Amino acid sequence: MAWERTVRNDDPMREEIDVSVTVPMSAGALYPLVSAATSTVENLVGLTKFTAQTCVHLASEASKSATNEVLDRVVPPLFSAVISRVDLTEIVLNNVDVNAIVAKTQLDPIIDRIPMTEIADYVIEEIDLPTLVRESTGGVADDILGLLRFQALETDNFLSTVVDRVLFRKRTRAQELDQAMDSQDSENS
Amino acid sequence: MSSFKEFRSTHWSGEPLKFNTIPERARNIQGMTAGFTSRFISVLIDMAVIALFVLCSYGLWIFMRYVLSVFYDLPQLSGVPLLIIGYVLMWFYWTWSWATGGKALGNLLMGLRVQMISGGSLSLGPAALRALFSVVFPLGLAWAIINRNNRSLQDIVLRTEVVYDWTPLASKLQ
Repeated sequence: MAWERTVRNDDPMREEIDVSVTVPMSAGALYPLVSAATSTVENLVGLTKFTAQTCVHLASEASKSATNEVLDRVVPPLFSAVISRVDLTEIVLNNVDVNAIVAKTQLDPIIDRIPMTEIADYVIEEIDLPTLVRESTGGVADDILGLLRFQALETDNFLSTVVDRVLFRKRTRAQELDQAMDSQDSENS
Repeated sequence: MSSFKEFRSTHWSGEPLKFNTIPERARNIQGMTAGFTSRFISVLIDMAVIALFVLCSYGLWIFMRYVLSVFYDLPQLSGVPLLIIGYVLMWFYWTWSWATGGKALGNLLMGLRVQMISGGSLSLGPAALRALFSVVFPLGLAWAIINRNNRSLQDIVLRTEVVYDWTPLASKLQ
């Protein structure tokens, strides 16, 4: 190490010492260089990685949307073309137990959606309930009358049978009446 | 009680349902000529109605006579005029009933209808004639016991007949 003392003329009080130091290269002196290089490399790697990832992502998204678009355009007509050649209803009927599905169906929500009162109105209108009520209340009186009428009918049968027998008629009126009643019975059974 | 499925299989959905209130046994005899007994009871009912009406009128007459005796002297009705009134009323009533649907009250209750042999209902002329005949000679009904087709003398002369028609009272009122 060499040093030189100079006194400046303009300011005697000021004294400058020039020191020229010659430091030998050591490991400590390399540190900033290394660290700068390392960080640069790290940044570069990160950037590359990020760029690559972004590219991959973009590429995959683009390919996805392109695929979707292609599928959207191709699949529906393809599918409908396939389905139009297949009787789907037949397949479902043959292979699916529809009754089992219906049996497990929750009916209450469906019933809640049905306009019950309107249907009731419709049914009342359709079956003409007022007339029905009128006729059935009239029917009570008709039951009593029916008894009287049937009794008269039986008496008629008896009377006409006697008369027809006395007059040697082959076919009595009572037989005709009975036949009519029997044919009614056979129609109902 | 039949299931809905059975119900639908026997009834076409658009078809209006007819509820037949006629008893099953009697359904097929509708339209057949009615025998003597039914018709006799029917006549008795009509006569009872007219008799009741005449008696009520007679009672009213007596009451009015009593009330108005202070001012007027209303004639006293004896049996014969009452009987004539009854006959005339009977004639009018049967004429009116048979010309308008063929059913007097007795016919309606016993489920009978008076009609022409052709099946049409009686018009006013035949109805009046038949009613007059029936009022004047009620015994003509007895021929229905003997006649093969349950026809009385009136029926034979006027070409009418009395058939079973048990259509419910209520549907008659519509």
